[in-house]
Amino acid sequence: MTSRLRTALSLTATVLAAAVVGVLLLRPVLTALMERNSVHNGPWRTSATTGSADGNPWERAAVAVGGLYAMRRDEAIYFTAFTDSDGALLRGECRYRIEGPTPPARWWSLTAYGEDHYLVPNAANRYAVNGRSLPSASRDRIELVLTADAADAAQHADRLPVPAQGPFSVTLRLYNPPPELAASLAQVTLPTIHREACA
Amino acid sequence: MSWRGHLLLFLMLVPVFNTLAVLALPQVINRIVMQRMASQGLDGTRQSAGDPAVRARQAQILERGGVNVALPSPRPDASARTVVRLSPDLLYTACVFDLRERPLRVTAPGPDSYFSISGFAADTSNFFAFNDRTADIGADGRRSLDLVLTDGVRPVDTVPSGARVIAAPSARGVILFRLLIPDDDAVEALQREFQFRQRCEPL
Repeated sequence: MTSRLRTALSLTATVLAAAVVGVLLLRPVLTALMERNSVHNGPWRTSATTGSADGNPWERAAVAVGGLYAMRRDEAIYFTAFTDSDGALLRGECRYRIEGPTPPARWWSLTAYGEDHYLVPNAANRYAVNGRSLPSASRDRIELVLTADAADAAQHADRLPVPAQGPFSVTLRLYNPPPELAASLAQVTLPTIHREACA
Repeated sequence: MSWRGHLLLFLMLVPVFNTLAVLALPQVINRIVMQRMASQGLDGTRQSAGDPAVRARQAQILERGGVNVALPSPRPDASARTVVRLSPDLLYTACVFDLRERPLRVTAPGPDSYFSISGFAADTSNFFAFNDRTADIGADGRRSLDLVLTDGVRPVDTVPSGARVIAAPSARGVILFRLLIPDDDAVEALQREFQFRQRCEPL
């Protein structure tokens, strides 16, 4: 093998290795950048530029992976929690209580998603709770329980089913929020998420 | 080249490839999802439960498939696997658009509760959104949205009276119709009276 051919082969291998590593680093880099760029409010996080053309390429890539076709913040604001209020990952093996004042918005809803970002199969066929689905006494406040206990969820309207095992997340959607909310994403009072018990 | 030279080249190229991948990712994901949506609607060929007439109408519309067609989807549940993090409070209709030949007319009648039409460019950015609060109210008191989507290059010959003209930043992309489900009993009426009457067709 000539020295020129050896050099060409080794250069090709180096470029290919860099391409593979560059692509493999996509997920951790996006995760780290989104973590740094998102607005935090207790266990909740949101992006101030989701869906907007103002979002930078990294933000847009992360939204394409975890929230494709999300709307701009004047149309809807999405707060997502992957942890409880103590910072521990939300896990299906545990039961959580979410409580706090009703967020300022025309309409709100809370939805649970599995680790794969899809809705969670459940016997109660309930995928979200909102201001109208909660018992009337709770409508001024969000007071509900995240649980994988199907029988419990079937009996109570304020239970939101979650996966039986593994990490999950919840998204609080605020439709047509007041304009001032967009300026106070980190300060607005949002519900707390407290772990009650684990299996 | 020495091993140090290779290492230096490797370290210089990794961030370059990483950035290229970041730039390409939304377009790649969007292209894959648009291909699936053009044949199956937003969440596949899944059929809604309930009224057989509603299911039949849904299947009839979805059968047409393709681009520049409004394809209504049943209420999202755990079997919806085309787009992540769908809201189960909404009825979605997707229209994959291609403006290279003709502009598109997009219309939606709406109820008194929340409904919207939003547009997403090839890079997934949300370039417009109109909802019931900005809808037109007809003489009969009914709300509706009427839009003409253009490529921003060729002028539109005749704009229908009252329609809003929007220039899309890319020739291909996605229009999403959203209809809020205020309560579980309202789903089929919303489908029949509003969702199946949404239109997305060449002008």
